Amino acid sequence: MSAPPALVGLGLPDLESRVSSRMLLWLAACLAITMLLTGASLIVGTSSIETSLGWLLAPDTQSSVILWQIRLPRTIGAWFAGALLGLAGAIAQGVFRNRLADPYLLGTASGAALGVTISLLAADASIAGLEWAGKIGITGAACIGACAAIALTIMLSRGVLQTASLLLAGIVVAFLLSAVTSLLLLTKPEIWRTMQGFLLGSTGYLSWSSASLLGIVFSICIVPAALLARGLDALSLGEDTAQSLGLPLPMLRLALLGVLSLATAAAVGQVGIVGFVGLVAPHLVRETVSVNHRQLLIGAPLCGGALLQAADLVSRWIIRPAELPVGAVTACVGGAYLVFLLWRRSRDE
Amino acid sequence: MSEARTLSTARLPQPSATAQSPAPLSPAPALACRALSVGYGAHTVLEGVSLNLAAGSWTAIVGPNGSGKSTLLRALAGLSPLLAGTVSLQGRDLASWSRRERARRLAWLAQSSGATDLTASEVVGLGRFAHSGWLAHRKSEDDAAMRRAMLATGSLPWAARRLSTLSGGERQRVYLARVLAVEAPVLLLDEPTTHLDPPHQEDIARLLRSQAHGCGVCVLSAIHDLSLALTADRLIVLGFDGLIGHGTIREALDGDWLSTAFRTRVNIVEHAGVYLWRPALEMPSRD
Amino acid sequence: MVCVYRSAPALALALGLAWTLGALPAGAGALSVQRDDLQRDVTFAHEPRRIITLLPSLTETVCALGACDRLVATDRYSEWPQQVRSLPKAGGLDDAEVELIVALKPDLVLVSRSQRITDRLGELGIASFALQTDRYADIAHTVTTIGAILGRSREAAELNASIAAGVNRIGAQALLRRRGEGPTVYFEVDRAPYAAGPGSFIGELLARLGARNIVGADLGAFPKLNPEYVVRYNPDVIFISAMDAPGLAARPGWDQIRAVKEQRLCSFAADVNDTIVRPGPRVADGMRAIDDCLARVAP
Repeated sequence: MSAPPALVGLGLPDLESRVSSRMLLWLAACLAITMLLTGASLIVGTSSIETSLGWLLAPDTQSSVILWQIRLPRTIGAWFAGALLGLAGAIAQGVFRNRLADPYLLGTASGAALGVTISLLAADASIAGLEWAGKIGITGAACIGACAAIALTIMLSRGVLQTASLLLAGIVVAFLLSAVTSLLLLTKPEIWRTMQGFLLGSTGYLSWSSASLLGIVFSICIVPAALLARGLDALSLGEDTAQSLGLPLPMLRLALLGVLSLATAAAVGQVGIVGFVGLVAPHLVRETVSVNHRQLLIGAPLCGGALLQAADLVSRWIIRPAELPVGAVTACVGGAYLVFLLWRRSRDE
Repeated sequence: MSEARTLSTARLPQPSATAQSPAPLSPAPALACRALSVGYGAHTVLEGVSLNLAAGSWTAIVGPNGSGKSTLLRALAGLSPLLAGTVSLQGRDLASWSRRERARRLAWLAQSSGATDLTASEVVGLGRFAHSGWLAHRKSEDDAAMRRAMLATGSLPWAARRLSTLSGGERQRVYLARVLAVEAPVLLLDEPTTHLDPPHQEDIARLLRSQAHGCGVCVLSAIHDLSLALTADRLIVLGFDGLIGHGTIREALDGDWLSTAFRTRVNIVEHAGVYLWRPALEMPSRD
Repeated sequence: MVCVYRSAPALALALGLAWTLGALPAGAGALSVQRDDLQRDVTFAHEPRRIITLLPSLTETVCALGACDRLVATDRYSEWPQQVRSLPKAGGLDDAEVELIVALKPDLVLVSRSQRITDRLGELGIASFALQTDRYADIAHTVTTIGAILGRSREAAELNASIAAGVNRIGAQALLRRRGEGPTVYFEVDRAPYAAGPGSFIGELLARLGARNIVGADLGAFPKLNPEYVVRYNPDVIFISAMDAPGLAARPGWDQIRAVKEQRLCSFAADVNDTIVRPGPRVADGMRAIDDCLARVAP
């Protein structure tokens, strides 16, 4: 496939604009899907669709609470959490140069689980523990646990210089903290059900304050990510090449890992451990649009947000008025997608 | 692709004006090292190497596998820590240049690049990173540099294609274009002709020569293929015991440096103004 | 078992009968075959004298039948009555300590249906008997079965009668006290939120007290609800753990629920909670605790 002869004379900018129009289409599609999902989220829940539509037209106090205090912040919060996970996943895949990387590579999931376990045990152990646990909440405990795990990983790998040692340290920390969590759970198995709820993820209690928090964190994360995107492109050519191009590698990695950590910790704190969104969203963008990180780091959050919104919707709809854990839905969807990728790869070979 | 092979007649990348090395009359070599020692951990690969590389010449590093060609290149590019000695770029210590300034003056091509699925033009565009920075606001001079580089390597026809859809040789030419796009006065290339078939290898050799002679770039390349290396201006010959010699081709041949380096008889013949390596094999008998 | 005879002729008759019956296999009076909840028919040649229980409700049942002294070990979580706390602990529900059990040479190990240890005990030649108590009806069955095994059928019948009497009395009192319909309640088992439905043991107790569960029977015993459901059905009383109670108002939309607004919340201490959550001989105590709270917050 050669470029048309006219293009050779015109120069390169025209190629770029063709690619950006594809990106714009993608953006428009994502936004449209998001709007649709948000609308659907308003009418899906414990009430039938007719009832919900009735509420929209003729609201009363209770239905207003359900629509605007429960359903709307829940879907918006889910979008921001999914966006954070999508962004974190894209960054992880770029920094580790591995398409199977996900946001939990640095041990964040195990750290968050441990934080929640400690918080639940403390609440049970003493009055002081109850107060402290109440103040921080499971949200805060998960967040702190995630950050602690990342700090431990970076310490173990003696800085961010070596990707391989970071990965290894992340795996070690994940196993270690998991083991500690299991041991602690043995002392009080009654909290196992709560832990399971956390481990499977839940968007059930996302309020306006949660959604705003997630939104703020997202705005804080997306700006440096977009700025550093080109560094990730250079990194994909190889670390030495990136360095020779003038990239400050340690600083770049530190900044990217910082964004990754903040995004993942915030998301995990609010919705628990939701898998596959961070893995699948960047893949989807790469397949349909581009691998260029400037576009990937914008597209992956949009895709991730829509994914988690859709999963939240499904989890509320399928066995209403009961609810599936949202992490179980993303696991099914994500798993199916990976199977599809495998099938397509074997077919191509 | 016939248009891919027209090289020396096309406009070639010129080192950008701001990064122009000092006037040829200046005594400071483009790239130099003093008493350089490099190695990994406790193992020293090269010791006490001193070199002067002038602008406007193409030097080829040759030697057996494991003699330290890549190590030397990486050390000169500032990518590996030095065990001892100093490297200077355009008269100043390498470490004293700011990262950005150094990236503008010294371009390095890896032996093998990471697997990436960017398009060819995006990869070449990364070569302008030291000039256009993080925000990648492309100015016309960036576009012009990219276009020149892609024309020179014959990779313009697949500018919009992803690297994974290109063959090994096509990809290598995109990487070369990326290096040329930097338009740096010093070019360090580790095995630039891998994956390329002979006609393209010849094109690259011609390209490097014109970069050196035509644009005053200091080109240093590690090349496996002896015949190709012998088309350069100067040779750095490395052996298992370290640096064997550094000088013109004539000096290398007179001193039989290659035989010393490879620890075996290396036959170089001259034919029609070109030096060729002649393997010591008899012609197969026609039975 | 000792029978007391008041007259000498009766005594002579009894001795004669005993001598005749002496020809039969020893301990014939205690021979029984019981079917456990794993559908195994277990033969008891004699009353078990050394018993290990691996489930708190089974421990309570054995002790309620007056055979506490026969226990040589319990599981880690058995805490009632007081005297079992000093017994050796043989692990938890999933991690029973086989070595300890074998070392104690028990005649019988009482387990729940889902424990994996039963196969292992069988291989080691130790008798085990599985009993599952999920619902109210299972309590009587468990008591009767254990009574038969221990040779305490009479005590078992008495215990069942007293349990039923206690439960019925409390239920009747509750209904008497109430004028009109009972309060709507939501019993939260876990903060996910998991609720106790009418099909669960807790649900049965609530129903006997006349409380109306906002969760319908079609949702199962312990459904994981959409939190919006509770807001929608606006219960009068919420049963919740002490740990989660302060956070209720923070849940989106929950500050609108009547029970939260008016602080009609019921929480139980851990030991009381055990009587509510574990179907066992102390079910009446659990029911009373629930009723006391209902009387307090929703008279």
